[in-house]
Amino acid sequence: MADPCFQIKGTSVTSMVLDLYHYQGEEFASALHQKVQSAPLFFTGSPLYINLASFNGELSKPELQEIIKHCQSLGFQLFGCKGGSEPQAKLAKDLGLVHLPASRARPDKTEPSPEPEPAPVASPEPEAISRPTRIIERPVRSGQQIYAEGSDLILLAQVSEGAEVIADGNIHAYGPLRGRALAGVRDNPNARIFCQHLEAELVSIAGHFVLNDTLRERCWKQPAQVFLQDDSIEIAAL
Amino acid sequence: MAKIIVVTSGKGGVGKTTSSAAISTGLALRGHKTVVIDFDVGLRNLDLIMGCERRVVYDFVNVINKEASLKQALIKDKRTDGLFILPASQTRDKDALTHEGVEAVLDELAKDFDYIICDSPAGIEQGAQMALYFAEEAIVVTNPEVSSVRDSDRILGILQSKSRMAEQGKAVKEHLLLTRYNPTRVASAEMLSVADVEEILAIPLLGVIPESEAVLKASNQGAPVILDTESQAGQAYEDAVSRLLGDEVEHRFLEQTQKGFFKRLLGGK
Ligand SMILES: Nc1ncnc2c1ncn2[C@@H]1O[C@H](COP(=O)(O)OP(=O)(O)OP(=O)(O)O)[C@@H](O)[C@H]1O
Ligand SMILES: [Mg+2]
Repeated sequence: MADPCFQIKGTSVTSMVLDLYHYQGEEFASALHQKVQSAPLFFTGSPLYINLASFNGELSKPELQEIIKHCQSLGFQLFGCKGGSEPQAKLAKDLGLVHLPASRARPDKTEPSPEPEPAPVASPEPEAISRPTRIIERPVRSGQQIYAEGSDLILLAQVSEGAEVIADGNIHAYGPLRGRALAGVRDNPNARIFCQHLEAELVSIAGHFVLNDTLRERCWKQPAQVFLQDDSIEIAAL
Repeated sequence: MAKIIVVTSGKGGVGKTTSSAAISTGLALRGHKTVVIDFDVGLRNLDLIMGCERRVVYDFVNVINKEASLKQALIKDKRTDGLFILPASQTRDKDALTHEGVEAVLDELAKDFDYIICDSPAGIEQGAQMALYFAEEAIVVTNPEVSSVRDSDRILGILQSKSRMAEQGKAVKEHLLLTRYNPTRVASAEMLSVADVEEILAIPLLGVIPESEAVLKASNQGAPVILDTESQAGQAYEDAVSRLLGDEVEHRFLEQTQKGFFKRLLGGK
């Protein structure tokens, strides 16, 4: 028998999802820009699809074209749309996007939901998988990025200015934390950042972030923890 | 087997070539057979600093392209025994260096030499990455200012992720060489201090080379500054070579010299 020249298997791909609630050109562009600025290394080049499950109203062809343009110019690899109405699905396909069917039937939403969209997993019942904590022993230098997917991240050496450390779970930094630290990035509001020496450019929990200028007023260069309370970032001494 | 050491920085003009010339000369003076390679294809600077520019016939790229043998291209230093220079070409394009080509040259050199010093071009792109790829140790040349320190941090990240050692799961040994250090400007907070830079980069300090007119004089004469044993810069490079060889030597020239009273009294400047 000849060697097979390919094999097809099921897989799951990690991608980012942009839950679109409503669309206004300017607002969208500047909010997205700001988001990317919060962690350029993390967002640039990321595969992305747009989830229309919670989208209110109509989306015109020029509008979707604009969205595609904005996403691409900020370095996302936008590949598809998920859910939405029939005409929206057709529009997406016409513009060369992949259309993914909506997730299992969910109640129609009339307002933006804070509920996290589950990451695209092949299994029908998304279950909580806990992966082993990722431990980084060497410094994370400017221009480098570490992502602990589905787990906590422990950093034993410093994180330089210009570096990004990202985790789906908590981040623990035992050396100076001078770069950007983003915990709970797949919308886990319970994630926290613990550090021995807080000197970060930015800290973020589940997409909410504060910058260096705010941090300077709280526990600067001190041991601290960062967590989310009522949708706002709290910084407390350790 | 030779030890391969890259002299790198990210930022340009911080003193890589000056340091490569001084350190390779220092190693040879201590009896270690040393070759210093100019990876700065297109600029060709090392041969000027080493004072052998008129003797360049073949270069690194010729050897890689098999247009000349290594023996033909290596220039024996006139002043220092056991020191050889492999010059870069001035005309060829930057893509002339390939991993296979460089590796073959390094392998051949490794049979004969104790130390191979690679003088990296500036930047963090292809040319700099080629120069550091095969290194087991790195001398990260940094000036006491924020942009240079930031670039050194980036190059350290590249060293530990894109070098052959990193690919083999090993760490490149890191050395910090702080150059153009001016204690007066540090005292007036125009420049970062040794402690500031050490805190940010957190790697072992190989040496602090003071800003010195002797460096310019040396490069005009085409004689590495380490040969100017009277100068502070020359002495600081001496110390750095000792530390590279494993000696513990105290750091000098970190403080502002007492300009003034006694010197004025004695009529010195
Ligand atoms: N300690 C020092 N004191 C005074 N001048 C110095 C010192 N070190 C280097 N210089 C000067 O700085 C300039 C740049 O030095 P050099 O060519 O060694 O840097 P480089 O890092 O190799 O530059 P490039 O990135 O262009 O290759 C030269 O003019 C040199 O004379
Ligand atoms: Mg140079």
